[in-house]
Amino acid sequence: MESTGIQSGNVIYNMSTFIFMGLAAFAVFALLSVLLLVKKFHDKVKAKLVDILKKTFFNNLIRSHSISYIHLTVSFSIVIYLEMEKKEAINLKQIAPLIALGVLPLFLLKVLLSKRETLDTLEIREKIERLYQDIALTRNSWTIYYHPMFLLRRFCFVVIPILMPDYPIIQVIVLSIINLMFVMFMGAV
Amino acid sequence: MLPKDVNITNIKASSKAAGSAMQGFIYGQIFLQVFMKGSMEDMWGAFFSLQLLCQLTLYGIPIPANGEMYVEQFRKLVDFDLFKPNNILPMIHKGWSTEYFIGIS
Repeated sequence: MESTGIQSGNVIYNMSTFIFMGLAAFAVFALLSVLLLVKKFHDKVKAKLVDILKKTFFNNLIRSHSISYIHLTVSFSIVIYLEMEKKEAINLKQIAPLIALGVLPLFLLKVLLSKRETLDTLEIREKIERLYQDIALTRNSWTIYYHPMFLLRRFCFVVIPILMPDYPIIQVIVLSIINLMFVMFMGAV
Repeated sequence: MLPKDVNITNIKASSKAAGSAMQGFIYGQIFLQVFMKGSMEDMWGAFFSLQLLCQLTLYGIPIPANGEMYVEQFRKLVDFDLFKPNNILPMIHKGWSTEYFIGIS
């Protein structure tokens, strides 16, 4: 487990850096909200807060999630791996977060598909552009699948070796197939 | 295990230097781009690739010891070691740590 950089079987401990950074961002918001009460700063701070919420909040949330996704997947997979090592039954409570992480790319795909027609508008770009940044939306109808595929690939990349630790050959074969499929996808769109 | 003629101290120093340089480069770029309002997409691309590279150790495949040392250094970057609560909390209050707040030993 140490070779993966994971120090504990505790997910909160493993994610402490990301939680800490999230709390720091929340503290900044709280501080700005307190400044709203001060008449002198009220107008300036309100404009800034509205701007942040409108333009960067969702995009930064998406980016933060993309950054922490692989670490989160490793942390939840390690919990299951430790249970498997102890030869104990895995309950739904342990496996549910991992399933949720696996399903999340599909949810993002649903969001993208439902907004396909409006993705290029300023309003949507300001909110969720990080889901399709630098992607040519008109070149191919498959291009918007990039971000969900990107997350799904990372999910498989991490989950397969952790949940099949005794089968290195299968790990490598699956890794090669996933990489090949991703390259094919990139080449095709 | 390293080959016979390889000096472990040199390799460790070299990997540490590479890790520090990469950290300096990425953090410096973040700092500059925030103020210059530029796109950080290229940098995040490199960051996401490094994240995958660091998770390669999950696979049951032996990798050369010197490669592992470099991966260890890069992991410090992708795990945001600089912002680890255990580095910052003791500065706010002596005795504070992640373990203290979570309640694990």
